[in-house]
Amino acid sequence: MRRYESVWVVHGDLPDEEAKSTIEKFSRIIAANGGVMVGVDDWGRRRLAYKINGTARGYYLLADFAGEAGTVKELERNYRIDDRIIRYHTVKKSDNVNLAALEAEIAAKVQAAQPQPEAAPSPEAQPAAVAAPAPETAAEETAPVRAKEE
Amino acid sequence: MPVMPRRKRKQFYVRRKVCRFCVDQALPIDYKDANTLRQFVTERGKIIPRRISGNCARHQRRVTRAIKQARLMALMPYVPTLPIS
Repeated sequence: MRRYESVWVVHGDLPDEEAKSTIEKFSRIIAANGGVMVGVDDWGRRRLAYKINGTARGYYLLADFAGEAGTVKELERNYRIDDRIIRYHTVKKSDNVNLAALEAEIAAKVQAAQPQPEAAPSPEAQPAAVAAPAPETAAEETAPVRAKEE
Repeated sequence: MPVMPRRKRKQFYVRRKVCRFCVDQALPIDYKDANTLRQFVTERGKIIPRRISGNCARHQRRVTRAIKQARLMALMPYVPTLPIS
């Protein structure tokens, strides 16, 4: 299995809920084609550097997953079918994914995500949100290094 | 190749440029990080050549690739809209 990272952009004229609903759709496609989802990063609504299909805005989403060539092929095929997707890009982060290490990473991510909704209504929501992505990026950075050493 | 200082007329101070990605190995080159990549394009959006940016060949290749990927995802412009002067 290989580790991939896929960014897709949803048309900016669509409501945020519809953009977020694509997460579920593509997660299912990844899972159904021999992939393992690690996490989704929601970049939110951003200004595009240039107009695409008549809009200057887009909703960016990033999926971090492990899978085979077929997983990516099927995922990208579905991106192309879906009219709501204006851009997509998939990058291979590493060859040879250690499944045990991957599961540990997913478990750590789930744990890190759990205290967040509890803290959300309190005024501490902001520091919690800032603190949460930090371990994720640290984990991402160590993964390719480990692969290189092998 | 650095230009050798001429002895006779003008005294050039040639400061050897060092690749900043070699100096700081932890510095990532990532197409998602458009703000860092913006340092390697001109205000017209053109990729700054190696002889000016000072990047080594390996890192320049990665920077170039990352910029092109970022352009595709509309994170960076192909042609920026400049204020009319």
